[in-house]
Amino acid sequence: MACEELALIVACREGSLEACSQLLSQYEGYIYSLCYRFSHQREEALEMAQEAMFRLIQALPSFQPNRRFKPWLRRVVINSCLNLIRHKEPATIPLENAERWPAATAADPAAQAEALEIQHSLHKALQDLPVITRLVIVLRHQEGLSYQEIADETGLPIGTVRTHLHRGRQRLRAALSEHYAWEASL
Amino acid sequence: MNCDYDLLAQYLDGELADNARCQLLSHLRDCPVCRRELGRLRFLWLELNNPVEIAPPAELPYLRQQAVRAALAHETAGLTFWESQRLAWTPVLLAAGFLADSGLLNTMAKTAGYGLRISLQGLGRLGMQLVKGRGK
Ligand SMILES: [Zn+2]
Repeated sequence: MACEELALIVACREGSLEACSQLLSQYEGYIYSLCYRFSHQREEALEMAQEAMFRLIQALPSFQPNRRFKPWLRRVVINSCLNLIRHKEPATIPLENAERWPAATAADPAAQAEALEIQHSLHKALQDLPVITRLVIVLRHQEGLSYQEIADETGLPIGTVRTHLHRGRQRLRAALSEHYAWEASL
Repeated sequence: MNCDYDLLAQYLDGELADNARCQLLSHLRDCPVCRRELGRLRFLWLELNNPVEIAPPAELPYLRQQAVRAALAHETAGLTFWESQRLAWTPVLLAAGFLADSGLLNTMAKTAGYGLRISLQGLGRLGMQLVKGRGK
C-alpha cells in the first residue's frame, strides 16, 4: 500500500474529519458506481453510497494495514448494501427512471443501433432481476470475483452464489434470445 | 458426457477444475450444439464484462461530508447513517444550511427519500424548541 494512503488511514483512525473526507474522496466514484450497478437506480445508489461511506469510517479501526485497502473497502461496501437491501422492500423501477446505458462505439450506424438495442434489453433484464442476483452478477462480471470470493464477500453459501448466477444469466440469455431468435436454453 | 450448459458457464467463469475442463473440451469437439451455445454465452459474457462508466453525481461529495461527520460522532456505533441523523442535531442543521444555500433541497429530497423526511422532522422539533425558548 502507498505510504501516503497508510498515513491517511492512520489520521482517519485518530478521528480527523479532513483525512476521512480525503480518503473517501479517492474512492467515492468507485463506491457510487458499485452501488449504482447493484441498484440500477440513481437515488437508491446515492443512499447506498452514503450509508457505505458512513460504515467505512466506522469500520476503519478493523482494517489491517498489512492488507490491501480496496478489497477491504469493497467488502464493507457490499455488506453495507446487503444490509440496506435486506431492510427494504424490493424496489420496482420504471424503465424511464433508469439512466441511459452507455452507447455502443461501433462505426456502422446500423450495427450501432442494434448494439444499443441489445444493451438496452440486457439492461432491462438486469433491472428486472432480484437485487441479490444482480449483485452477484456484478461481482462476477464487473469485479471479476470467483465464486468462492463472492461467497466470502457476501456471506452467501457458494451453492447459493451458483444458483443466483445460473438463474440470473438464464434470464439475461433469454433477453438476448428474443433478439436473435435463439432457441430456449437447456 | 451429456450436454450441460451450466458447465459451459462455469468454463467461461474459469471455475472448472482441470479434469472437468478437459472432459468439456473433448465434448465440445464432438458437439455442435454446445459449441453454438458456448458462442452465445461468450457473447453474453462480453456484454456483461463490458466496463460501464458511471459518472458520479454532483451531490456525492456533500453526502460524503455528511457521512463522515455522522460516523465520527461518538454515539453512532451500530446505527445506520440515517438513524444517526435522527439522533444528532448538528449534522441535520448543517445539512439544512447547506441545502438552503445551494438550492439542492429538491435534489436531496429525491436523493435521500425517507432520510430527508427524518432530517426535516428533526428540524421541526428543534425549531419548536427555538420558538418555545424565545417565548420565555
Ligand atoms: Zn453438447
